[in-house]
Amino acid sequence: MSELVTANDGSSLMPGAKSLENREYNLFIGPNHPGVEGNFALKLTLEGDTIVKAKTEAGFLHRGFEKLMEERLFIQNIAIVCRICVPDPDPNEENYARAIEALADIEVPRRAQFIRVLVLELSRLASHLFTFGGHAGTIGLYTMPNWSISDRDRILDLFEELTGGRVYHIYNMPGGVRRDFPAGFASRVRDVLDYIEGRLPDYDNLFFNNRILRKRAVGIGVLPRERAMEWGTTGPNLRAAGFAHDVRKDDSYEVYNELEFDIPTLKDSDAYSRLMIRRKEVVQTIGIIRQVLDKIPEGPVWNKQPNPLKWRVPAGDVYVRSESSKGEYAYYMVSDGGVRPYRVHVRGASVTHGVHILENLLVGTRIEDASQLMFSLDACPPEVDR
Amino acid sequence: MAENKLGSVLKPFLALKTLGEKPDTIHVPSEYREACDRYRGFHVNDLDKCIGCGTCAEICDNDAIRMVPVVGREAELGKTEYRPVIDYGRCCWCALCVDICTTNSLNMTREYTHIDEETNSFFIFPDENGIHNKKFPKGWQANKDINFLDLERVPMEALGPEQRDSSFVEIVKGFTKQQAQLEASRCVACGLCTAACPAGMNIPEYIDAIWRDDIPEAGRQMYKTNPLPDVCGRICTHNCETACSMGVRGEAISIRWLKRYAMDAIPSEEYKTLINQRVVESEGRSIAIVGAGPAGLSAAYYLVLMGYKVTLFESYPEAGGMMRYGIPEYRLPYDILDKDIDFIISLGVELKTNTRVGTDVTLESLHSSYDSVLIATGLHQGRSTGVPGTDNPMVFQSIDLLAKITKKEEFPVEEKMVVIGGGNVALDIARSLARKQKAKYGKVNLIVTSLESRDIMPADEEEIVEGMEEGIEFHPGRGPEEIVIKNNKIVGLKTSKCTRVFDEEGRFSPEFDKDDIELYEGVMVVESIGQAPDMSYLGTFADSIEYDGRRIKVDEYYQSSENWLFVIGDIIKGPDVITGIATGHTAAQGVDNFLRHIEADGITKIDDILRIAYSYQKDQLAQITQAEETASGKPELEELAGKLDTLKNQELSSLEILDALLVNPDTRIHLRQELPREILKDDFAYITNLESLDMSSGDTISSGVISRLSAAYALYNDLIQLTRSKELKFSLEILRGRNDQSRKVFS
Ligand SMILES: Cc1cc2nc3c(=O)[nH]c(=O)nc-3n(C[C@H](O)[C@H](O)[C@H](O)COP(=O)(O)OP(=O)(O)OC[C@H]3O[C@@H](n4cnc5c(N)ncnc54)[C@H](O)[C@@H]3O)c2cc1C
Ligand code: SF4
Ligand code: SF4
Repeated sequence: MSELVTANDGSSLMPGAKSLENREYNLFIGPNHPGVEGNFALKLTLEGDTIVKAKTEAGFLHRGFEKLMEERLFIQNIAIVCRICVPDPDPNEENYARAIEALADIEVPRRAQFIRVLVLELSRLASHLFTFGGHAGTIGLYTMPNWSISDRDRILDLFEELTGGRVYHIYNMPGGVRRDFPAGFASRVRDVLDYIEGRLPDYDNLFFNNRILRKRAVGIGVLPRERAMEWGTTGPNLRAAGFAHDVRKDDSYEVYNELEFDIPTLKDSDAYSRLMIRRKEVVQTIGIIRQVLDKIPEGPVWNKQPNPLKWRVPAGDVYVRSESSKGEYAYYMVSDGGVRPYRVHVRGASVTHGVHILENLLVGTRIEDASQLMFSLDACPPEVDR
Repeated sequence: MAENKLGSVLKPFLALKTLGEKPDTIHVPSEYREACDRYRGFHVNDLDKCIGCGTCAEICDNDAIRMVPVVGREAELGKTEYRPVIDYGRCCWCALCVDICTTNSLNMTREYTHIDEETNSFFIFPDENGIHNKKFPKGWQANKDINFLDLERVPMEALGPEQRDSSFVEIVKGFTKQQAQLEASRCVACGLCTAACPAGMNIPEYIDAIWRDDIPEAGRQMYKTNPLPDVCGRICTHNCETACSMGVRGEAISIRWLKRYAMDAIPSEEYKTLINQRVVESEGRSIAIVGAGPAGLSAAYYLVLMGYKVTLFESYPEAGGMMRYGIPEYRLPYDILDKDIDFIISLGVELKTNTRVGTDVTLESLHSSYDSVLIATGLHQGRSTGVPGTDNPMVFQSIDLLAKITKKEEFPVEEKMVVIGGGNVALDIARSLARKQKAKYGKVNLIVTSLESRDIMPADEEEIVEGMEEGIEFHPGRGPEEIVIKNNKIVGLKTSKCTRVFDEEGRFSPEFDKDDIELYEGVMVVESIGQAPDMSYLGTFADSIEYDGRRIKVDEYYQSSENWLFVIGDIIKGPDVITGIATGHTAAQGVDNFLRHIEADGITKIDDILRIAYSYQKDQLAQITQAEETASGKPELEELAGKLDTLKNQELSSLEILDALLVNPDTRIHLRQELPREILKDDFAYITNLESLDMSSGDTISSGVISRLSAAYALYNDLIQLTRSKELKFSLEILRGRNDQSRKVFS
């Protein structure tokens, strides 16, 4: 620790040094730390226990996704895009596919559109469960991660059954999805939904109503309502500040406009409301998935596309967006009419939330709340490092 | 939920109720978790089913698949000896390889753990049993509904039987641009077709060019190994399509029709500019080719491009051989044939028609007036069954009649006719005669009999089916006994049942049931059971030349024991046009080697020379680079650096040419044509300076690659000398000193 803590005049501050008071010093946390779902560092300047300046440092997970995509055939990228966000990979797959579909004017069979919604919502559910565990971990409540992450595993089991993979699904493809439901799948999805729904009271008792959580999370990292829009906040973080914005409703895609769901909002815009809005969304999502299972029509799940080795996508550019568990997600794709995308830009929520907003909110926060604040924004480092 | 704003202190302890429950986690390795049915675990590959097409490696987004030659597996038609090996350090288990596998041989299992300290153990060769030989159940597998490949052909339009049965109009209509591009887009570019093509045509390359709508490029690719692409686009036997990997699960790419499409799209007057073949300056040597069939024409094309003076001797009034005088017009229209031939002739080939070697001019005289002679006379003597009655004037040979049809000569067309033979030639004459009958009598009355039963009839299935549609009656499995003649007139053909055609070893050894006799009525019989060569023109050479069985003995370049004489086409290796073309191409290289005194062994072999040139070249390049490094950043040496740079570029392009020549000696001739004129002059000066090479006479190998290099060498050798010289070192030292001084001044 001693090397990490330096006073700003360059002198070393040994632990226990008397002159600590009223002096600024730098503290590096990360790139491995409990506030993130991947490697990401913070360089904090503290005065006593209070953060006076914060700088984020990304780049530890940089794999150059956007550039890589320009070098690969359209089909090959379906195996890459999911890696842009580990906890919630499917919006990447769906957006990527939808961008190509828009450029090439490809119709997606209705059944596939329902399946896509199911996959997107299961992914949201898994991602939120992950966040609950992570958030709890940052304040030392270690039972919750054990529960929510093993409950999340049940969703991964479903993914494994449907897509052949647990974490990376590589399942959405331009024109639809790669496989139809296996036999009896719908009922197993219902079982898992029932189970998770049944777990919520346990979660409440253990975590959401836990006095420690309330004491630690309420009033932490308040994202000022009047700044929320200006700072580009989206998704649950925006809804926790009282704005009822949701791409699924505002700019519906796939078959979301055929499904009924409300957009929950909260007002306090602090770490606690950001957590609680996600808890509300678990209920919302379960509702959406049940509707999908009720309404899903029979039919093909993929609209045959040309030989992937000789597949040109018509020239043009397109911007497609969706609502991920983290916020607004979008792909900007340019095709020059060749067999590879000319350019793909990924707009994730994490740069906004995990870099700009975080740097602002950290100021004035106490050091012990930094990780929690960060987690409450639910940013995803690999998606910052595109 | 929020019954208490402060939250509860005690309720969290309710979690204790789960204490007795069985945990969700499992203990590895004592507990095993079965993966689900479509899990994407380690790969398995059915090695017999896999054809080694490499499509899996092609689609892999992580370059995780490498195709390796497998010991004990041989390349065969439609299969390579390669099989995929997977690097699990790269694989992301996306299963794109499984979904595209052309044969469905590649699948994944439900096995997903592999723990080892040895990194090489993650590099596996999937077989049927999986990574640990444990035969795990299959996981992710190919799915018939979600199929990446386009298994069905774009249909080809053709005339119906009623539109075609009395005319010789071409049956197949050809692709439109859209159809052709769609068909071309099905190709996975595995190259199995190229391996199967006797001429090794660059098929994936021209298919790709068609797909990109770069028709000139498609044409250029074809001309690299085949100067009769219009013809082949119509009547090629298309071994390529038999080998096509798309044919394993679906329908082979219509390679032949794609070729036809591309060539039809190029107007003949544009051949010269589009195909862009340079004829190099005459070598002053002349070659005689006897027979202007596909083999002779192909040899003529490649030889004339290499700068030889080529004369084609042809006994018929027009060039084309069997393509003109055998294959019927409804399959190969004459104007299409002319398009190909005219282009070859236009490059400067001299064509002497109506000149039969052996009668009008002797082989002996060709030998004395030409540097080399190629014989490509084909098989033009019909074989007779020899059964009683074949000497009747109303018994004909199919070959003769087909030639008469082309020459528009009269011959009898009777109301009832019998054709003996079950091959494609029999079908060609039968279908031609049927057209004549229909035109003359308004109906078809024609019987085709063959030794082979229907299932083993050698003719193409579509020929038989179309023949039936046109009204031909087939009686397969019958052997001819006698042509029954009454009052000097043929009554019909008496046949017996053929009980077997081949013996157990597959040798031709027919047996008959003489109790099962049938008479097929007809007043005219056409025999079509095969053709033989007429090589009487060999004269005295027939005795001096070496034979291999009944054929003339030749080496890999079709050079006979009389080293000036090359033997190509049907008389040495049949049985089709494309094989003839291939022999012509190879022999052209052989003639070139022969006339340049390049022997098959020793340093004088052209490949060896190229190799020496290559290593020399690389050496020079290294020296230039070194000189450049020395000169870089020195203002005084700016001019020198500039020269070095130009030089380097020249070197690099020469190196590229050499590289290409070395990598693909088969296309050597072609590449030579593409080299600029001036570098083709004899100039082996620098090579002769090489100690390792002992070039004897002034009559050296003229491979042009070299001369431009030699001029360049002279220049850069000087420069290299300069950089090495004391003078330069001295000036460099001064330079350094000056720099040091100025640094001091500034600091
Ligand atoms: C009816 C028929 C249909 C066929 N259909 C097909 C097909 O659909 N697809 C396919 O790929 N192949 C087909 N073939 C086979 C193909 O035509 C031959 O394999 C090919 O033409 C052989 O080429 P070549 O150059 O060796 O000989 P040829 O094409 O036979 O040419 C030899 C030439 O030499 C000339 N010649 C012979 N003797 C002399 C001499 N002494 N002096 C001067 N000139 C001489 C001949 O007049 C002839 O022009 C068919 C053959 C026949 C008979
Ligand atoms: S599963 Fe995907 S990454 Fe692995 S070898 Fe196959 S194509 Fe390559
Ligand atoms: S694609 Fe299939 S058939 Fe072709 S090499 Fe790969 S495993 Fe073998």
